Amino acid sequence: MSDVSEEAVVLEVYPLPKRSPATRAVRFFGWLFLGVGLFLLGFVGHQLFVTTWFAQQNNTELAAEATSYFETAETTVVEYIEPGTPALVDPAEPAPSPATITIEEAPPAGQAFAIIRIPTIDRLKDGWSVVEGVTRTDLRNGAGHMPLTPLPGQPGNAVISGHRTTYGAPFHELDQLVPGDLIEVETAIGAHTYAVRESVIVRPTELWVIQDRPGAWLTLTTCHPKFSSRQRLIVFAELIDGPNARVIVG
Amino acid sequence: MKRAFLSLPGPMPVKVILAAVIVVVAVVALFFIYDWMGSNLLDTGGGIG
Repeated sequence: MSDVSEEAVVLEVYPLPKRSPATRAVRFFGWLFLGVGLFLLGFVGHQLFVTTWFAQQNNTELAAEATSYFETAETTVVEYIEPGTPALVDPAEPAPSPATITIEEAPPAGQAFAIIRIPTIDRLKDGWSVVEGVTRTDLRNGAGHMPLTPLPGQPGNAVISGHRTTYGAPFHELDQLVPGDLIEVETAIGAHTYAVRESVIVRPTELWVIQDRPGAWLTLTTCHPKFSSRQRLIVFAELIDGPNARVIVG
Repeated sequence: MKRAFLSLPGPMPVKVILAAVIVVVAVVALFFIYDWMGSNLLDTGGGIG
């Protein structure tokens, strides 16, 4: 039997290393940078792949929801009075026959009510559903119609916003549109075709881009440049064909 | 990691369940943070105003 205790033997065989402050600092920052790196890698992966996967799953469901909405949405035929028409007319002249357009009720917030197609953009060739609203939740599905602006196909300036790099990024290639390219938006009253007229880059606070316009316009807005929300890329397109085009555009 | 797992209370099945719950909560919290960061810094959705 040994008269040396077991504890003493362990201490002798495995002496605890003493780390210098410099070594401890290096270890600390090493782990810190590794952690930050993994966090950022996860962030990039989440933004590019996870959000897109969810948006694509949602988009499939929303496309079916929009198609179903087309059949149930209430539409009304109303008289169209062109802006600038004098309110008082000469009673001696025969009254012109009133032109009519079809309008639809504004959909409830979050409702998928339209499908946008842009044949020259691969991602939007087959269509992407548009929901009512531009809150963070609404835009998780990719594209949303700005409330208080007319619906697509109606007189005025219909505004649709969409993600550029995340959540399916439906407007990723919006910068490739050139004047003359066609944009089709299908709603409850039919398919409306717009022709691109102009693209501009503005600050996010420039409200003039969503102001009402004479005729019927579609304004697409998205972040610019890619992977940044510093500016906005705006595409203006004018209605050229559709159920209301002949009356509104002439 | 192993030490943290072993320090969870209860017998092994309880430790496993607790660890799974902690991982799920951590992933959800992480996704929430990523979502907030992405929506505010990377791509707001292109809204105006």
